[in-house]
Amino acid sequence: MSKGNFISLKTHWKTILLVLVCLELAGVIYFHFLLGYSFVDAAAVSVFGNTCLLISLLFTSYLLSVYQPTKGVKLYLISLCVILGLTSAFLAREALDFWDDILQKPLEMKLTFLTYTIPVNIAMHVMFGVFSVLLSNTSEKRNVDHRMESIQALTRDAELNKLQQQLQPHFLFNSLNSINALILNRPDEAREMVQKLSDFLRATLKRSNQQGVVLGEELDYLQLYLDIEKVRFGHRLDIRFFVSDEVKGSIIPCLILQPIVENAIKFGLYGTTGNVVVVFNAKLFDNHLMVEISNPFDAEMQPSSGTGFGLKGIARRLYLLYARNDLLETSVNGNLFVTRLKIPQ
Amino acid sequence: MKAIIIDDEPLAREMVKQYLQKHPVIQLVTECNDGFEGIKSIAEHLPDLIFLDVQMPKINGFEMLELLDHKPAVIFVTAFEEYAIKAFDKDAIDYLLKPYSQERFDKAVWKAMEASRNGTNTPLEKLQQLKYPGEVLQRVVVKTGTKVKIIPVHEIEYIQAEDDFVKISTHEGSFLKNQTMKFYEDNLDKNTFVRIHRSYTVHVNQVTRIDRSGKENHLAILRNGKELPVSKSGYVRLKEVLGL
Repeated sequence: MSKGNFISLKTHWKTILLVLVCLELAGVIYFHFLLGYSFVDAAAVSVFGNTCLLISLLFTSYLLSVYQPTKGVKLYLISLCVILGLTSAFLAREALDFWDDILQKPLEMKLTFLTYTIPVNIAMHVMFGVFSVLLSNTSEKRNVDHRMESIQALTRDAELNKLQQQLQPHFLFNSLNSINALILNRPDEAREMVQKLSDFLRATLKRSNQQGVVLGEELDYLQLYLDIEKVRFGHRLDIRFFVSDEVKGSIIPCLILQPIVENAIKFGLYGTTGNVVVVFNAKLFDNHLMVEISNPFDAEMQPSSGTGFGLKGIARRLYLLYARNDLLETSVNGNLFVTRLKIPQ
Repeated sequence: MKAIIIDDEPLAREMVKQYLQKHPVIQLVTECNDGFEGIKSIAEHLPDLIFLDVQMPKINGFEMLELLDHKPAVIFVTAFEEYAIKAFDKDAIDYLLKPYSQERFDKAVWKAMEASRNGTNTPLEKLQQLKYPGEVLQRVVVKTGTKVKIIPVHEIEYIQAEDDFVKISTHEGSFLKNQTMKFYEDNLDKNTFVRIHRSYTVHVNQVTRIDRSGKENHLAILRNGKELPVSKSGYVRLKEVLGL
């Protein structure tokens, strides 16, 4: 139940005023016409009774907004209404006492006052309480439905994003464009690239449901990607791997290396002209797989918006997988940009 | 009609060359590997038309355009659909999404030829307004004489508007750029840069204090001692960002 269900004076003053007037009239009619109070007395008595009732009702509403038991709501409601109804009636009578001290009225009137006020107050509380509870329930349900919708929408978006990311549209379309260019004058190379791209996509889709893979396999996948990049960048790209066989058996999360290498290449290629050497180093240390990727980097060239460092997604993934923030770090070493990745084994 | 291809991928350039065979009217003057080469070649050859990739080393296609004195017609060639923005569709020549067919290429080229016949050139101002959707500017490219300078956005102290262009002030000095104040108002991080006046946008970290100036206006005093006028609405914005 949110605070918004508290029937506040500000938002509902018109209704409250109307109810007040009706109660006042009802009171006057009862006390004056049925019990024979004078008009002024009836009005005054009614005012006292209704003021206390009103305060009590608002208090009830507040209580209900703050706490509602999940089981036995009816019992809670009834007891609350009875208690508060009685309290407000007695309070009104005390107020009347005070009024009486000033005006000196006979005791008899006070008894009839209670016989009217107690049932009316309890009834009003019950009606009010039920109304409040119903109001809060419907609004609660609406909140829950709304949240469900938002969550579902978020999930859909996340899934879609994941798929889009995996397909890597930029890479895909650029590669297709390259193939297109090769068809006319270098058809054999075009065929080869079609095959490589197809293998790469297939491997990507297979990986979409996996979690961890063996480093050796991931390196093979990486090689597919790199072969295609080499074709695109006219063989400016030279990637050197330093991975011993024993390290190839270690486990690494899927699809984590490729974005890092892609990043290194982008910076290497986009930051310089001429041949680019990217060095890939992997070894085991302290029960961690340590991967180091370095590429040339022109420190004066800030990343332009749209390329960026691109590694936030990886850092986040690592955090989600291993609950650690220290597994990915980058540093600049002269004109070398170095990315270091640690994977607990 | 003279044309230049600017793309960092040789195969992508090759693609344009192959399709251009069908248009002997267009003479391919040279090819460029990046934005810097592009600026030089365009200044040297004064082409009528350029085929421009967006994702390129050092400075991207948009940034290169901002620095051109001679403004040729532009056909963007890009893999990113997001860069092909609608603002564009109406007056700009065209964009080609990689990979593209001969027909699609022809259409773009004919549009360019039509435009040159009608004398309606690409409103470069509009192209200069394009930005990476959803991102704030991280850097600004300016020309100092013949050299290109890249200014990271955090080094900008303030920007002053002057008619059709702006003066970007850093601790190294001021640089003129053919751009509108509105562009920077829209594309710079609004929590760092505040438009305090019709003619001034300031980096909030540079503001050391704000003095009253007359009855309704204020003056922003910068670290370097410079005093910039602050309008009424500018003051409201400035206060909000500074959390006053």
